[in-house]
Amino acid sequence: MCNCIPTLTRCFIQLVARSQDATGSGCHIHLSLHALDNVKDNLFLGKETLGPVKNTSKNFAHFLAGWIKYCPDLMVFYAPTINSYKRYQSSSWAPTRLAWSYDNRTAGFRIVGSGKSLRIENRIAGADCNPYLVFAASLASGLRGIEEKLEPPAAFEGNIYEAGDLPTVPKTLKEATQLFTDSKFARSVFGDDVVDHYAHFYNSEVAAHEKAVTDWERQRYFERI
Amino acid sequence: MHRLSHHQVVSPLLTQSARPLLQARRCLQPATLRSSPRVSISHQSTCLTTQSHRVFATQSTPTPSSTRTTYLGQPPKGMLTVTQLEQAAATEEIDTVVVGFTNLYGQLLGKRFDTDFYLSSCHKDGTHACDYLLANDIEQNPTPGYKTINYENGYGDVHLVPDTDSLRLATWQDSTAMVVCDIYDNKTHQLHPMAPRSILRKQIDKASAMGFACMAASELEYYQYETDFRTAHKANWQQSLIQPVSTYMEDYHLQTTATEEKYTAVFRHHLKHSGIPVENSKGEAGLGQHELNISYSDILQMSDRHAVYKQALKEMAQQLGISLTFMAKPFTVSYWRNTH
Repeated sequence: MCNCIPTLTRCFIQLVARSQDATGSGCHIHLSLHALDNVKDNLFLGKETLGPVKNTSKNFAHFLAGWIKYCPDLMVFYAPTINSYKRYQSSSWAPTRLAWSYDNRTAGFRIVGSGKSLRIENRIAGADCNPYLVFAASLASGLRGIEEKLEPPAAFEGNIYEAGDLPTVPKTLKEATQLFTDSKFARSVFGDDVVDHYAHFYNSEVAAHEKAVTDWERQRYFERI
Repeated sequence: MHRLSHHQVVSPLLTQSARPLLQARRCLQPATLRSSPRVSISHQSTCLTTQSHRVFATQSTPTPSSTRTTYLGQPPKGMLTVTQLEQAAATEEIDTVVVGFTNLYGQLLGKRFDTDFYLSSCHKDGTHACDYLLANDIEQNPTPGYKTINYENGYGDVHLVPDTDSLRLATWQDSTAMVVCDIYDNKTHQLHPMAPRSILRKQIDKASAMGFACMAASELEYYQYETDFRTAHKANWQQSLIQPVSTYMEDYHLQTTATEEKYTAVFRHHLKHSGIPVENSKGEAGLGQHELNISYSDILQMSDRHAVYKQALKEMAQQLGISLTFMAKPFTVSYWRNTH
């Protein structure tokens, strides 16, 4: 029996290990708006209170609301490859739902810092993002929020992975590219020529993937089908 | 470089440890640049302006309207003025200038210039590249179906114009500097609409028009492996054949990450001395997964830092005989190796 225990334990460990999803590599984006003529002046600061965030500004709330609202439209810039979407697994540290919170890592948008360091962190982008495009998408969305004076939803508290009623990020590059192609917002901020060009780029990536035979298929079917 | 299997020390540069490499490469940094007081830098600025600092010698190339580089204090160590590059060229301390731009994937592409020719030609007139680089796939096949960049339009040139605000040392390469370009349409002499840097500039211009400057940071994570890129390629990147740098999950683990300092310390050192201030590095929640954070800055410079950081780490990994990846999810499960 004594000899069996280590063996059983090892088997158990292996079973657990086999089902352990690997953590993905993210690229969290932090932004704050400042006065053009005095960059030390953080315009996210003010006399407003937004849920758990004290001493903040209307621009902060509008920027946050726009960044959240238009995230699905521009998801191709946050998650530009076929592989990007494998990262969005529940309880994986990667955000799967569109909500915001103060210092809650299950939310797609996390408010961090206070005083001069107050800023918004978007945890959706992956390490494979193109920085110019992910920053352009973030800025365009937040600025539109300010223009439209959008109000963010209430701050989320708890485990967002279990909040079934919250909107989710698109699940595949194909789905994200369709949202991008159909987005009036994307077309108005980037122009039809840019949206068409990039939609073709991402659709070409999807097409290349769809015709590729993968390791996963051989592992699953080679011998057993 | 001679390649050995991943069971052996993989790089001749690392036969003792990375520390001699670190010391050796630190010495590669030109003495004049090491000692030059940063106050002499002419473009330092403590606040954003709506005017570009960039002056283009080529009359046909318009000055970008986007707000340019902002420093809350001194420019970071390793950023160069053109005057400093000229001095370093005269003493042959810098003999190569990497002239780079990013494609749709965010990969840094470009050319390596002799420093003298860079200063006499490229700095003033820019350089050119085929426009298909903004319309191909990662295998560099021209992709049919783009409306403006295609065989019908002849795949002509785009004009690469160095943004000298991005001029920096690239200390991880010998005697090398680096500059990031804006891409201009060769016919209209306007910023090329499909270039990622142009797309960001357009949004920065919009923010400026609304009275806003934007400060930004990106926090990159990556997985690294003891196996070098060539061996990993030969192994078809099979998880069973490539070796993570760590044995254990290493989220915030100082002990495990200490064993990887032979790599990570090199990364931090060269980023810091190449105009990319480093905040910290830490282990992440995966086997061999790291996060290395660099300081925030204005959003355009932050994008350049991000692109150069990725390029620098991959080039250093090549030199060190290891590999690393910025894939969002390189493997399905973490413990696969431990079960075999």
